[in-house]
Amino acid sequence: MTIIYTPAYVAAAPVMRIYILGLVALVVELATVMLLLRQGAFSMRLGVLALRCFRCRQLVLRRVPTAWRARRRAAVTAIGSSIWQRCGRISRRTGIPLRRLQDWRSLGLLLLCAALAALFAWVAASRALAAFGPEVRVAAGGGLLAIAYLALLALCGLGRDALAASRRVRGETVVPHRLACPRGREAPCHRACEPLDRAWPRVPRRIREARV
Amino acid sequence: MLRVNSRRPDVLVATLVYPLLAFAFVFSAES
Repeated sequence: MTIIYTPAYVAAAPVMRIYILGLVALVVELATVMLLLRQGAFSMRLGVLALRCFRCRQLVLRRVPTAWRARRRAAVTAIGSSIWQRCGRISRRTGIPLRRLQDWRSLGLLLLCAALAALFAWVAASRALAAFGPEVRVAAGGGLLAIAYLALLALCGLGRDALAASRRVRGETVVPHRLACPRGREAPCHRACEPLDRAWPRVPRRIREARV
Repeated sequence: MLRVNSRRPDVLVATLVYPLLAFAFVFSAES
């Protein structure tokens, strides 16, 4: 956009769009988990392999001057396959099935909500505000996107999950709803009520109570 | 441990990052 960048950058917008698609996959943070599982060497080998494959494909496609889309797609494919391989490795090492490794349903719903909100904002800004300049369209589009996104989050019930997650990340105690916590609100020692920075002892209840 | 430590923050990050990416994707060619 010429508001911030020069026309040369605007010409590269389609390429950046493909990179943005690749960034969607990077939300799944695996580096720390891989290091915790002592899989740093595997991660590095995978990175080198992906880089080599990507480089080979780039060299092949460089002969075709109009294949820049294919080259960007190769980069996105490299990111996606690398993340998929890492997920598979974590799943095998921990014994947790791939479908339970992440909250895929919430991630998919969030992506869908963001895409729908962006589509709504783009249509509204380009149709209703066509007479205005790009600054107005972008600002209004951002506002519309935020409103639509929050509305969709509330509609899907994802807003409550995000708030609970932010509290847990900050280390605050999250008291679950009385229906979600079988021991009720008066049970601060319940696992679901514990802040994340306190490790839950994996010992039988009798021994745990005897210690107290 | 993985379920507790990795799933929630990733959903939180996705909640914040996905609308920004969607905004950048849609309005990147606005000139």
